[in-house]
Amino acid sequence: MNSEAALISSVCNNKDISTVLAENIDDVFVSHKDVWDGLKSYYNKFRAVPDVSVLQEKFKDFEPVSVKGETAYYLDQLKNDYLTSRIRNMLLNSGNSLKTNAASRVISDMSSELMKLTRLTNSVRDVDVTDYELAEKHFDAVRTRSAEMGGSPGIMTGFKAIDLAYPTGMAPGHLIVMIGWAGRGKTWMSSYLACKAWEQGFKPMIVSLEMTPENMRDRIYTMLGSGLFKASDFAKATVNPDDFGSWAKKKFLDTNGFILVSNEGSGQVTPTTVQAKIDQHKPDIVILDYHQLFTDSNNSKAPTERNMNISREFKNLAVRNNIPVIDITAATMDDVSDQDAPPLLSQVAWSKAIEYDADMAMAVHRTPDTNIIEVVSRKNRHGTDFNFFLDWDINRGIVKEIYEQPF
Amino acid sequence: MTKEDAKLAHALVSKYVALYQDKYSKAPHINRHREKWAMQDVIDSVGYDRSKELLEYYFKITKPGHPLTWFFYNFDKIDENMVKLQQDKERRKFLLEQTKKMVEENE
Repeated sequence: MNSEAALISSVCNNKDISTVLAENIDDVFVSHKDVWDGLKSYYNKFRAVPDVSVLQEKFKDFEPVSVKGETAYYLDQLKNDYLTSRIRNMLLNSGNSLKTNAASRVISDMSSELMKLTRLTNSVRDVDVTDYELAEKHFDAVRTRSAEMGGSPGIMTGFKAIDLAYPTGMAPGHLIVMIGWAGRGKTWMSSYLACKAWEQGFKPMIVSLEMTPENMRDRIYTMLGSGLFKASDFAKATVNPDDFGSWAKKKFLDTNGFILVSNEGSGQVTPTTVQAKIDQHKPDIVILDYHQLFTDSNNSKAPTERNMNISREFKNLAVRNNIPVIDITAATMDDVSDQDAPPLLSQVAWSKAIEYDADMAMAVHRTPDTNIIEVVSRKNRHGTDFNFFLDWDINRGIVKEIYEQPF
Repeated sequence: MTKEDAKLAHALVSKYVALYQDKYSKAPHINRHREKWAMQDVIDSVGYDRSKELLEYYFKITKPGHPLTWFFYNFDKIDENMVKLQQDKERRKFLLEQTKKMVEENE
């Protein structure tokens, strides 16, 4: 049985074209594309689904199939057949491609193709506003989750200002964008949030394309030690082994993992690679450091297009895996700005994508040659805007919130 | 150009030379007499005091070499950006006060 013919026949029998239109999957029709287009065009013109005989009259080659099931069933079958054939083709092509191309290139092409196919394995979700019983179930679930997590459905940041202004916390599905000029504390701030999440019993995963895992680990130890160790001692490996050993033994006893991922400066890392790491480690929060060093799944060459795609794909990672994702982004240098203040959203070339995708965007800015870091919200979809300062002894990992102008 | 106007334009060209020397420890290669006409256009557009502020800000941005010609072609964009940054400074000050209040109320 041809699954395309079966789906079209089912739509005509059950008169429920909306089931298929909602999925926006025109490209899965191949052999019966003309019939499907004809059916849609009839529906758009007359706002009714025709009898299957009307299609037969117009498309002489079309042979309807006798169907008894729901349209959704045949839709699933068609999607499955389509995916099977595309995966088979992709594997064959990749096998052939391996003969002439480097394995890394083949993997990159496969990733791009897989990303396109993933669209068919995800589905959009609809909620009927009048279905208040469903809403009550949702509220129950959020209440239970909040109670389990100490008052908020998301992960708290540990900063009073952010936790009050962003009452959901870093909740599942949220994309949090942290922008800043190069070397002004973005990575420190996001690593600190990871430490706070870990201390609350969550499992963070930092994907750092900028630093080695060892360097990042030194930073994490410094922050978790909160004054016990110096970052410079970790860097020079002059930390007292006994002190460190006894502290670490106590600190890491019966705790969740804290995963650091790095590409060691080589190889492209796409959102598909991040997805594989999420599948492997099952983290509760993911930090991606930093945006400009990632490659989108389409391997786009134009920088703005690439960065916009990455932004959208990071948001999809958050939603698909039901975890918060922090995207660290360097502000884009231009000819008419200094770098003396926290960057505006407009100082990121793909700011429109951030406006669409981010649940929360904050700018982080360390005043040069001081310990003072300013944190200001640039977008907060779930609360009010905020601004505050941190007095951050980076070498000792001690952080103090300040709510006065420090200079 | 009146004598008074010429004096102001010359003063700003001298300001540029001083800022350039501070940054690069050498004098820029410019024709003062030719540049004063372009500088006069900047003064006519935004006034003497603002032109001086724009010149000072110009040397805070990362434009390599800080050419005077580039300034003449882009002073309006620098001006626009300075206005935006000033507005943001005021907004951040306001947000800081609001945030402080919010934190204190919840302690």
